Amino acid sequence: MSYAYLFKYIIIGDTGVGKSCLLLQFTDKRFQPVHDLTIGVEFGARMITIDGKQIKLQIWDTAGQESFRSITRSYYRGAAGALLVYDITRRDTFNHLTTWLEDARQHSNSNMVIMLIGNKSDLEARREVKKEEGEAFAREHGLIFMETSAKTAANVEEAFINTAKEIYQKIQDGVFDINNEANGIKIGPQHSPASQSLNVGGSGGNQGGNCC
Amino acid sequence: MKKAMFHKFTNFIQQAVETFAPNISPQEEFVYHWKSVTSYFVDNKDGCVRIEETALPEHLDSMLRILQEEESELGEAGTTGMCMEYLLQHRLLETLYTLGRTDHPPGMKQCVLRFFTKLLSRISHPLLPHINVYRAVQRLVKACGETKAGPAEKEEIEFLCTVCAKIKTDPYLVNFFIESPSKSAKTPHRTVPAFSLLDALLALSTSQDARVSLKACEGMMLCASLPEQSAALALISQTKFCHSIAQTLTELYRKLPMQVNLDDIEMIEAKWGFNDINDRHDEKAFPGKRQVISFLSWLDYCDQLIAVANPDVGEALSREIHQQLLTGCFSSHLLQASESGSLMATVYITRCLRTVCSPALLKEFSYFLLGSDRGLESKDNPGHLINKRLLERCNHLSDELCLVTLKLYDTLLQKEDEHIFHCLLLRTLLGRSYLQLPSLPSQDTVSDSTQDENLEDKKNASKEEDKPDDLVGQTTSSDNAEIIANNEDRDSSQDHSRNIANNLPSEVHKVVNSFLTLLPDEIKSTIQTVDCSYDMYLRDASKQFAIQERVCKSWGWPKQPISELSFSMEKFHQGPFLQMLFDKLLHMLDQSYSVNLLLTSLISKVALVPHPNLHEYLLDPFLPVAEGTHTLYSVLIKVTNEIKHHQKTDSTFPQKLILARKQLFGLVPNIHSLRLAKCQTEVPCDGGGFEDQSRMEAIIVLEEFCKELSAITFVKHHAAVTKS
Repeated sequence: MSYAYLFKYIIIGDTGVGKSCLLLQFTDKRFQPVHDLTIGVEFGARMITIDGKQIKLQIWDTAGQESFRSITRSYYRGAAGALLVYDITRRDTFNHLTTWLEDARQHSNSNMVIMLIGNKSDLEARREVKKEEGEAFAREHGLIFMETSAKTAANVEEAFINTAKEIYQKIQDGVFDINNEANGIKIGPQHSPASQSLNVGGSGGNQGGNCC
Repeated sequence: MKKAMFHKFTNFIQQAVETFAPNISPQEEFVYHWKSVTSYFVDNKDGCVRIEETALPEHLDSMLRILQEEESELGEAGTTGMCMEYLLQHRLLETLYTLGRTDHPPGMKQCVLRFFTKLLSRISHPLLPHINVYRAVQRLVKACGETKAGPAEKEEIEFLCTVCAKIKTDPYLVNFFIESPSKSAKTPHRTVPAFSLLDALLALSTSQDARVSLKACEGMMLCASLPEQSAALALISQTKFCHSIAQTLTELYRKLPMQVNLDDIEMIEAKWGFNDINDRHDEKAFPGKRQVISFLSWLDYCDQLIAVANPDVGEALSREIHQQLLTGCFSSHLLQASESGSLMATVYITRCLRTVCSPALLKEFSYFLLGSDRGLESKDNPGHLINKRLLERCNHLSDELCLVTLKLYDTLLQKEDEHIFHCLLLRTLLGRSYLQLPSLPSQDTVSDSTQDENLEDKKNASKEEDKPDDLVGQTTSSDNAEIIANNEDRDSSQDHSRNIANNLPSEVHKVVNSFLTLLPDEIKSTIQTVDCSYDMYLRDASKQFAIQERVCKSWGWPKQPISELSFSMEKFHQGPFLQMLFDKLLHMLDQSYSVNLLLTSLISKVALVPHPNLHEYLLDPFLPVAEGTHTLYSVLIKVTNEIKHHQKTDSTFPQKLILARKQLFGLVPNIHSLRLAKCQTEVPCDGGGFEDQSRMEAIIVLEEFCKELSAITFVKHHAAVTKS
């Protein structure tokens, strides 16, 4: 399907915070309770609509394990957006955010939009990190923030789409140089106005397969 | 249908086991599932059903579940439960490997691979050190990548990468995977270690399935980055790793298109793992783009790999790339006589350089282009052949070839590699032979180290103050005599030379002004706007200088000029690179606008380099230099004189100059914007518009360039003063 822009995302964060489940919920609208460790990188794609424009999101889901860290770093380069995920029921995953953020800032282009995500909001009873703490961290570091649940799908759409909106806005403001593909943004083929009928969150499930 | 039925049936059995035998222990259940697996193979020797139609996957999954439950109930780390002990004692994994090896029933191999993968990743107890585990794992590793495009590729790569991740966490584990045929024998010399994990990954890295090949590349990165020397050694000497990786790169290079728009190559971006060459909706597509992206992505992979690899592995792979790609392909392509051929090769190697950032690979690139020799270049020493040829090309009749070659040097000077700066700029200057005064070798020679700097500073400063004043004036070369005549007070210039080391601000203004006043006012196209644009040059210079300083920081350059004996020359020569720059600067008026823009940008880059010898040689017009020594300032004076002469003989000169300026600077404020505009779209202003347009444009470039140089000088002095 034709698109006006293609944005490249990466999902980062400690192992077990639900990165792969967020991606699966977003691309396939389903939840898989038992998910094995992501070994290496996985990717998925979906089309969304912003401001009447078709935007293809190409999302790279990375392994959270420490042993893969040096590899994950090479994926920061060339990403327009990053979802930095922690688990609201595990304080340590929140404590590691600073390291993740430093890593991301150091290895990505300076305009990369970072969305902080507190995942597993359905497990309120086991919550260890207050929503306010997430908000404060995001404010302090200039990130967008949201709590999501990959299980109930709460805020999952919003997390991916709001990140895209922020990137789109940066393009409108001329912050992103769209001619430089190193920024993780690609201009699609001249897309016809007729194909602009889909709403935000439009056609799902156009997963992967067209990379590399 | 049949399958669904079967599933119902097996589920029923499962439930039956759980319901009818509520007191059955986990171990009994575990053994029951295992026996069910083995008995299948006893009973169904010639069955031809697919694995999905059997209960095998369910039994294996149940075994995994029981093991996991057992571990979580035990809670403690380091203890093994009954089921795990059963698995280890009865060599279940080895049996499973044997069963999977035959892939009977079809799909069994995938099933076994999945079991191993899940077992390794879900059980936190360290399993790999057990002989009954690693032996089976190692055998299964060897069974991976055997058949190209085999049905089990996906499971194979998951399994291999899981093993890699385990090893990466506990690097000593890798020793279990480096095989010696006679490991138990006490004669280690006869053993030839093999690293089959890496061989399997190499095989899968060529998979047609992008996900599989990408993960194989990640697995190789993990293996290559292990700190264990044994792994590094096995990888270098016992696998085809380096050879294959470099060979892939070379093969991709050979497929590159030779007829492409040069700008397309420059604009293209390719990062390993991130490219989507199958994207049919590419607006900026051009024939061969796919090949260019494949090549650059793989180069980026090599670069990333070398950056994270064990240093020994990184160096070995870099050398291999040097040998196969650079010496094997680029060398003849760069040196060929065909203009279009060498043009493309130059564009490609420039683009490669932009991608390469890992120190080891960058070193090989700079050795290839500039040679590994760091000693003094003499005028009659032919120097490194490729560098020599490239420097000649900077004066090529073809503007295009000249431009791309200049761009190559421009790119070289943007790389963080000390060798490049040493070879191109410093080796002829380190002896400080450009100085006019008879050097005082015994005391004035300063060693490389910067530790005793303060002490040395004082020594240098006092030395210079001791100099007899008249010595400076007498032996100045003719060029510099003119300079000094140009600048009213001769005395203060001598004062200045004494105070170089002290960086007195008042002297800075003289230097800065000497660049600003190079062109007389009547030749300047803008007098009103000077202030505004000069501010911009200052801001830009300070930004660029900060970047350059950061780059050079770790190279231990001295803060004050040094005279290294091993680099001193009887008769000073600035070296072929600076000579090329000076020659081209001298011919500015006859060169195209594009060449002049790039040339001045290159010289500015050189001027920003924070080495004290280079700084004084290039940016100090008052430096007393030896006779016959060409300096940047002396060259600029010559060009200015030529312009003055031109202006006197042409009555329409001012009008033409204003016209040229209007055309060039219609909307843009300074030379940086012009360079930027030049990069993105061809500005149609290379001569041809009106008489002398090209010359007028050169004059305007020179005018702006002088401002830029003076801004750079100011910024560098300022930085030195604020630091001390």
